[in-house]
Amino acid sequence: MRDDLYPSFNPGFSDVSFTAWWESHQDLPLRLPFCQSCKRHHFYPQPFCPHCGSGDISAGEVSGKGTLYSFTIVHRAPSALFKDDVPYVVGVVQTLEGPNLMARIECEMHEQLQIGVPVHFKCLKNSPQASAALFPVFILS
Amino acid sequence: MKRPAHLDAVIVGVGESPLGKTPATTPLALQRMAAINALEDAGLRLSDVDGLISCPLRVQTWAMPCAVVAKGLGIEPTYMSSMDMGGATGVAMLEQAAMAIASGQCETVLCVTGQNLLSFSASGAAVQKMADAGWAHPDYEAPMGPLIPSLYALIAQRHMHEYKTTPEQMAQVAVSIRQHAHLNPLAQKRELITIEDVLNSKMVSSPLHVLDCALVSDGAAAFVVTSKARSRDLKNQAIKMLGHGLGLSHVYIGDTQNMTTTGALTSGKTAFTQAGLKPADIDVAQLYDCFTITVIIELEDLGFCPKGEGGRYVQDVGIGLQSVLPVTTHGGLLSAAHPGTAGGMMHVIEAVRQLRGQAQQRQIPNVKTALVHGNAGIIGLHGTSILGVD
Repeated sequence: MRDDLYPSFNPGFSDVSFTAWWESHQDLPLRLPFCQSCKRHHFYPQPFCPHCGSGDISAGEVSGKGTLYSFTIVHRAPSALFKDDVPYVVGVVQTLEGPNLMARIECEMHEQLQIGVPVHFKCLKNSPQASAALFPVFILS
Repeated sequence: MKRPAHLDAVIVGVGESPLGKTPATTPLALQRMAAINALEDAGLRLSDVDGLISCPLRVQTWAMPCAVVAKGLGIEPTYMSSMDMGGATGVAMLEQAAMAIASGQCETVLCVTGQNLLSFSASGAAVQKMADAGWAHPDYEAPMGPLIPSLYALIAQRHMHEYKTTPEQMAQVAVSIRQHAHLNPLAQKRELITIEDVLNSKMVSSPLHVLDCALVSDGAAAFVVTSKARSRDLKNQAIKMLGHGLGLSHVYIGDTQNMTTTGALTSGKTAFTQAGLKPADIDVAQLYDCFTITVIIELEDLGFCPKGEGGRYVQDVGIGLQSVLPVTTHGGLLSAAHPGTAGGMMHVIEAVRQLRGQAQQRQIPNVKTALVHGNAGIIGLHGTSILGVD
């Protein structure tokens, strides 16, 4: 992972670097780990494919589309880092390609949030958020 | 099925430190209090202990926790283990202690842990410490800012979607368990609450309110396991182990395609098979209650009600002391105490007290079998023990 982008949590925790994931938040298209052996995407990035065990993994472009698997509106920040964001929506997106992934969800009104609604990846290129793009953002389609 | 040899070990002593807010104390001091109480309860002394299982803490970093605790207690056991299976640790300790005794490594195992999770710093720092503790994936979940309650809130929201579970049904779990804490003089929160109180309490991470969430507490817990032969001249009735099981589905909640069915399916099935029992044979269940939704899912996956019916079961059948299956009768993590790993050990302690008939005002009549269930991480790792008396 990009330690320079994301120094405050646990740099170097993941046993594989997946720069494509972090960069894709700022620049379309979204990329997820893709196993060249069994031709399936997975998430989280891991050194070996969780489906078949192959180590032949590349960054595979995905549609950025999916459905909302679940969500929660966070009313209390876990630390000062998130204080200005409250309340914010953390969701799990079931991607069209298969893997689930956690993301911030953006919507105009919280009442619009519903499990099963279509969502899509929001590119942060040229957005003021881009410099702080440490996580993927999805918006209601 | 051949009965596993390690099921011959028995529980002979249980104890805890003061719970809740216990200022001006340290983890080792709390653990010593719990250990001495459990040994006194058994009619044993520290010098009788030749096995020790302890745990890493959240408030301090200990190299070799079992060694730190052993020297802190002034003992040099011949069997030692440091164990961290989150909320399933209490149940897993029982199994490991029994295996150590069955293999001849030792005869009397003290299991103990605890810490001043509430007092070691302001509550806000405790929340942050917990949020950073690795329950959310440090790279792919923690950056979005979920609290631990948020991770369980995702499960609750999904359960509501799939099975029409309601906030009122989840609130009923907190209300019933608080009624049990009301009758437990050691409990941190004893004042009775209503469903409206839960629903009107501060929303932490929707749909979970603050009263849907476990407490943060100081406290330590201990129990003593020994051989059947050693137990014969001890003062309390020995509690038998009838079955144990573990079950794993995931570590991180974003890494599962099914949030609402858990490893409790496997842990429960293994424990029931070893015990030769079925859910209807259980007299009392001490279910891990880190959040209200956790209890609902455990009731389903352990087979006490059909899948998806947990919410309606809590509402219609009930989990109170008068119900067909009283649940978490000491007040649990929601109301008695949650000092971390020791919290799940207290479910074991309560099962022992119910089986001995020593649960005072909360005593269920004629308890012959008790199930203890521990849940760890974000509902990913589970342990079930079934205990009994003749």
